Amino acid sequence: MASGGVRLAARPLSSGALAIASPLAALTFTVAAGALLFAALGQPPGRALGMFFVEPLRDARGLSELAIKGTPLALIALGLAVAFRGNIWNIGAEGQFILGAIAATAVALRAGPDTGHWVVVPILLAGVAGGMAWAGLVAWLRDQFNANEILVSLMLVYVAELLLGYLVYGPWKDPEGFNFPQTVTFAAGTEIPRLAQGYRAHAGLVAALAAAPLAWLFLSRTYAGFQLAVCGSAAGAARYAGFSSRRALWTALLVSGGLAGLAGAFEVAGPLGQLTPHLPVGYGFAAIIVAFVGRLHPLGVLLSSALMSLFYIGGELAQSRLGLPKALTGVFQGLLLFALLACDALAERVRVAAGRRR
Amino acid sequence: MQDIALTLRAGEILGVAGISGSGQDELANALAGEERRGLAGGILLAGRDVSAAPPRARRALGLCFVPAERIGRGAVPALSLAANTLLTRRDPVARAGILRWGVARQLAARLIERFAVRARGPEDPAGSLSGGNLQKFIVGREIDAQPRVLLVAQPTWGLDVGAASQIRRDLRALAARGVALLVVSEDLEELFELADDLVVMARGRLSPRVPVRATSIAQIGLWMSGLFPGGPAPASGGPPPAGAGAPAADLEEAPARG
Repeated sequence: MASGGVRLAARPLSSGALAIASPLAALTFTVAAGALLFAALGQPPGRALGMFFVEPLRDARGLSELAIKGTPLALIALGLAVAFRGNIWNIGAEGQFILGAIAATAVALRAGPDTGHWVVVPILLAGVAGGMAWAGLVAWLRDQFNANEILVSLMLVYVAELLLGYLVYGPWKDPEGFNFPQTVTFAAGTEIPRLAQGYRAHAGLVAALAAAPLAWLFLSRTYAGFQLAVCGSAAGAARYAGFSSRRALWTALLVSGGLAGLAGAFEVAGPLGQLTPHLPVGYGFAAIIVAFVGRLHPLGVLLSSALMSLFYIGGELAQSRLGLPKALTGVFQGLLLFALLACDALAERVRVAAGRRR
Repeated sequence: MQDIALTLRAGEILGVAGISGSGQDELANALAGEERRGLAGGILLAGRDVSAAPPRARRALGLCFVPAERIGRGAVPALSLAANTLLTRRDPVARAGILRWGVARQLAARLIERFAVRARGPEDPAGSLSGGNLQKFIVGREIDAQPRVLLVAQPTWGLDVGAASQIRRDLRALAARGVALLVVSEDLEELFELADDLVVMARGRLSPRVPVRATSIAQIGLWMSGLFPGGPAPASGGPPPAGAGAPAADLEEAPARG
């Protein structure tokens, strides 16, 4: 194929098999490392791994909890997958998630005991708007002043957390809440519809499952999605084609911010039912890992968000039933990301070596 | 760039010679619309002012461009040939911005066949093609768009003889059909083989136009160092010609023949 000399370039397209094999190998490594870790903590690895990975899947309640945590992860990671495809590094989804929850709370607090269930719609829309506004700030700063979106989006997470703290310790504090920093419990009409009686899983899961094919359609079937990907992967080609990098920037940040905000609205009007300082538990950061483990592909993101959700629940179970530290969740998350990066680098070498041999 | 004035007529091939970095890239970018800032003059395309028009609008008016860099500019290496048609072609884009991949694949397959590109098929990533075959694909993509004006930068840079001669043949055939061509190249022999007329750029200035038949490689070589009437180096031709005061990039196209 190569004419004009020998070329030792890596094959530019990752072959499909390796793209899937790499995360699976990373998961295997993570589980193996986890077994060693449990052994070192004095636990029989088989039992502990079972508690971590199997126990949460054994009954409907476990699956419902899996959905509770998987929903925000999936929503946020789907948006991040879109942004990362465009080479826009929105690291501050956590902040956009918080702002979405704050905006949703602003609407939810206006609902009275007689307000109908229709109020869920403006609550969710407010969440989207809040997340978009927070991410739009990042886009604007990058657009106007070429401010680095990684730093700006990350630092806006802290601003968002402080804003949340100010609101729940100040103007929005429940006057009859025994001075706890939290808002009043929202009126009944604001609650996100649940999927089944007696289980906490809510309609957010449906939204996440619907958002995945939409994100896929956008990325692979629309001109705008194509332009975003070209802007992200080859800036020179995008300029040549006349694709607007500004539009890609705004699209990437508004989509990812909007979805993170939506996740925040579902969270605050769903399982929480009030705004508290404990709203942010790191979904926005974990979703970065989810997006990459899912190969920035919407379907992959759904699967990896379920896996990451399992880590959260497994960590909680390991704490409550085995007396192990809850930090295991973070350890597993980190192990998985580390292993994935390593497997990707290895896969790249394998690919280059295979290309060389031919 | 300073004092650039040139007119390009239908059916002719104008060659732009010059040492690398003399302003040819900037000229091509300004004409293609990738660079639109700081343009003091105007660019007319078939009598229409396109000075402010972005690349896509110029393309819609029939002004197509083959950039010097094939990988990462003329084509995205990681994307399939079918996807690479979408960089400059609107045929596979349906209304509401929905992509018709079937149309893109057909278009890529047509280009592969028509321009003898050695590739397995439209799904091949552009980066898997050899330089010559990728360039045949890129040039073919722009020729197939039926342009009225085609800008080509370094058409055969680093290509094998077979691919180079095919591309030159295709470009000449295009001019014979009444398309106006501007060819920027650092390969003087190529320019002498392809072009009807030549201009030389040296340190951002443009030489007078001279027919290929009335000049020699030696004279063009001398001009490339700036030694032309009105050039940046002191020349025997005296002061710059009058009327070259306002910086202007002027691209015109006479009504196409036939």
